[in-house]
Amino acid sequence: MTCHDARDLLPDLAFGGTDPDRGKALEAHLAGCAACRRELHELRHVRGLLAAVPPPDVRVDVAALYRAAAAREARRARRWRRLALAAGAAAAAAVVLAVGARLEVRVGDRQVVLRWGAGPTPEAPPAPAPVAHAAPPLPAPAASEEQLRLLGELVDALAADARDRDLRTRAELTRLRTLLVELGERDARRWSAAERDIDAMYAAQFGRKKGD
Amino acid sequence: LSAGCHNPKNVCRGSSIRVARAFISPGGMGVMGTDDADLMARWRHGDAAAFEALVGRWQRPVARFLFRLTGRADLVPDLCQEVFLRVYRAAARYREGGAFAPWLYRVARNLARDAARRGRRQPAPLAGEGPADAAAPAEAECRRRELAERVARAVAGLPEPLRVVLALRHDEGLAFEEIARLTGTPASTLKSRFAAALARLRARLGELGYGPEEPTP
Repeated sequence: MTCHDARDLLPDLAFGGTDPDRGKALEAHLAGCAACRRELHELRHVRGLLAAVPPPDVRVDVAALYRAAAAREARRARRWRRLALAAGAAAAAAVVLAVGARLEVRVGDRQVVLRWGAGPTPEAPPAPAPVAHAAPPLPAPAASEEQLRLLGELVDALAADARDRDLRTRAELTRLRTLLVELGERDARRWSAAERDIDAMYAAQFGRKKGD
Repeated sequence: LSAGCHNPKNVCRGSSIRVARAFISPGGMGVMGTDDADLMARWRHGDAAAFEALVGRWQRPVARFLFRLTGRADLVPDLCQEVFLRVYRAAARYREGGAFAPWLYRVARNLARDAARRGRRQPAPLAGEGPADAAAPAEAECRRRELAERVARAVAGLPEPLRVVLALRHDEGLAFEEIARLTGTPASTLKSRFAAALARLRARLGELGYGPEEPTP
């Protein structure tokens, strides 16, 4: 084995993980090569320094996770309720505007016409105007009722969706609350068991109960 | 594993390697006899015990990984909490049979990157804010903290891909093939990165006066 080959394997040897066959050849090389031995020594030193920095001992707070998730669900539900309310109000306003004000919107011939209220009643016979520019007739009352019905259905569907989401969110929040209660009960049980153990150890050590 | 452990070289590290190997075996089978994908599937169906098992199984490997990546012990608890909050939220979107460990490490890595970006604008706390070891003499304790801080900073000064491989190879004791499965990077590349990380660390720690003593002939 050459020094070049050995240098390739030294990190594995220093950090534990050389395969046995190559390990034997490497050991044999190291026995006769002071430079590679020094390299290995330095790598082990780095490993020792890394091990001297213990990572923090972290315990994830599961109850806090459940609480954060519940708060997020509640925020989402509020946002959705506001959105559904705004959409419903906009749809209702559109209905009132379209029906109450007899709103008419026409697009064509490079112009947009917005008209409300009753249109002018033609008194004189119409002038011979180009047929291409003729406006479409006002929607018949039956068509308005149809639009009204469709908009009503849209509002109903929005309300039903909001209700469904509310129900789902409530179910999720109830589940989270149950989990938190279970966690609390489990903690209380563990705590009282720990207290009993401490009392028993105290009594065994000092021959009397704590506080006597 | 590390709290109250005065000889991390002999106790903490050995334990962490055993735990990590049990956790990140090729099939993702953990010490509890249930694999992570199965726990995640159970959690998707509302089994809170499965979620808590996942947290218990992964909280320490994730904390070690985040610590190596950020070099900031003060950031680790909040980041770790955030990682598992994302696991919680991802239950509905998690693909059946998806590889849990690579996904978890990816989440942790992204959060560490965000924290590093924010960290450039926020000063690190003063060194040695943690509880002192009452049994250690003050001077030795001071030296230990100084060493820990400098090593952590030297690691944090490495480019992120080198820190990732250093964390998974050294702290978790994973083989390069296992790290390749976790990160999606070829094992040969990881091996080169590991050697580069060690070379840079050696140089940096040598500059800081933490070079090795002369080896015995």
